[in-house]
Amino acid sequence: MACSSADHHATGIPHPVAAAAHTLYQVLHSSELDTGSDTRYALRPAVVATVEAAHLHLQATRRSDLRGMASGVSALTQAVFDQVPGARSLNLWRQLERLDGPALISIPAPVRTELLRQATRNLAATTTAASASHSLLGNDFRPVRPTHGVARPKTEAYLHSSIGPRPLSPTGW
Amino acid sequence: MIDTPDDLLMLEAEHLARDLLLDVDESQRAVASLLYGWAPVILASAKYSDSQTANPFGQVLEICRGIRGDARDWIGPGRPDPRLDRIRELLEDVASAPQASGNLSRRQTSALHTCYLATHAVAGRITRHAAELRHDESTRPQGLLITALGSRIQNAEQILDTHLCDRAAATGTTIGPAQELIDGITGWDRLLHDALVDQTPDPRVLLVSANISLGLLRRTAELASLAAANGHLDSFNVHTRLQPALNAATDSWDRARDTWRALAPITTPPASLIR
Repeated sequence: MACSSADHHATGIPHPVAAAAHTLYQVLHSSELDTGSDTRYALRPAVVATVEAAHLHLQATRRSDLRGMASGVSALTQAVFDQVPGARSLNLWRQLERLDGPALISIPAPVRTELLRQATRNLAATTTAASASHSLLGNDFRPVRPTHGVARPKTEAYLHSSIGPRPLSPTGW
Repeated sequence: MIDTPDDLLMLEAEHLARDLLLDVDESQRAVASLLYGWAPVILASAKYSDSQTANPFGQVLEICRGIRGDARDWIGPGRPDPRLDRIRELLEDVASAPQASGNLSRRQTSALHTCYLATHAVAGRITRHAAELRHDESTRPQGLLITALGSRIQNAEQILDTHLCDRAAATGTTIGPAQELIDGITGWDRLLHDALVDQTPDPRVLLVSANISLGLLRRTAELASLAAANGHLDSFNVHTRLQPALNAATDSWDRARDTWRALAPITTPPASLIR
């Protein structure tokens, strides 16, 4: 990523990203957030933001310059290994750069394909959640008020009326 | 209500946006011209809200930035649609007029509404074009990519819809923690695009992003559940539709986080992000 070393926080995560994440985390868990309509209207863009993040993850997974820590790539390769017949697995190991530990190495094609599948599934699940989050706006919701405590009005006409038995329908109807 | 010449210009912009909705040309050329005309309209509308703390177009502008490369690669070059170009001109003309000539909040809502209509039209047309490509085996892979593009514009439409429904947010009059949350999301979204669009991806950024998505989804589930218990939301809808969808998305982001955690160089994330 285009970021000078001075931009890096002690955590290793680029500073502006870490700062924005920290700020968002603080407001998200603020005790002042209630369940009122303002909050629910704010949560809807929050869920939609996760869909855009899922798109960005998918884009990142497609990039050929994506690299990962050698130990992680090795572990993921092992996971793919279990699903691939032996000969192909050998080819897969040959693609791995001869580095180990924390060094960043490129990711072999079959592992990348698996990452792509995972990112696609993630996008689908997040999109469904965003669609369901429309109910947060509550536009179609009218709370049902209990009626049991309310006396039915008894008009004069009501007192003098009587509802007779339901007439029987002719046979065959 | 038409009180000023600016209102007439805004009305013309809205009519043009409605005209886009009725257009059925779904050729590659038409779709490309819509796509290239859409982003400048969003940019022109965003200027109406520059003075606000939270710009309702903030997230939509980031979507515009995020899809630029994909649009170029998957749909090809194109000239902006003349109607969208005209909408942009109208919005810019009204924005450049002195504020005293009209009600600013009404113009902001009008710009937002026009943008919503135009975005709905663009998203619908791209989605239909993608569906057509998917039918043919030879163009199916391209159709799938364009479907993703259409889905992102639909997200933009949903964001604009939310701001339109929440008129206080649209005109920047919301205050308090909800407004801070919108500001936080917009700021985060911008930084995430800065870090990932047209950049070599850093697994550490992807790891933090997965954590943030998890936080947003979990907190939404928590507050939605409380809202249903308090009678603010339809409890049946929350428990049978919203919660299962949020849980599935959370599980999915959990797996993504594990992957990026394996690939990211060992770091010490801020304590607030570990949960």
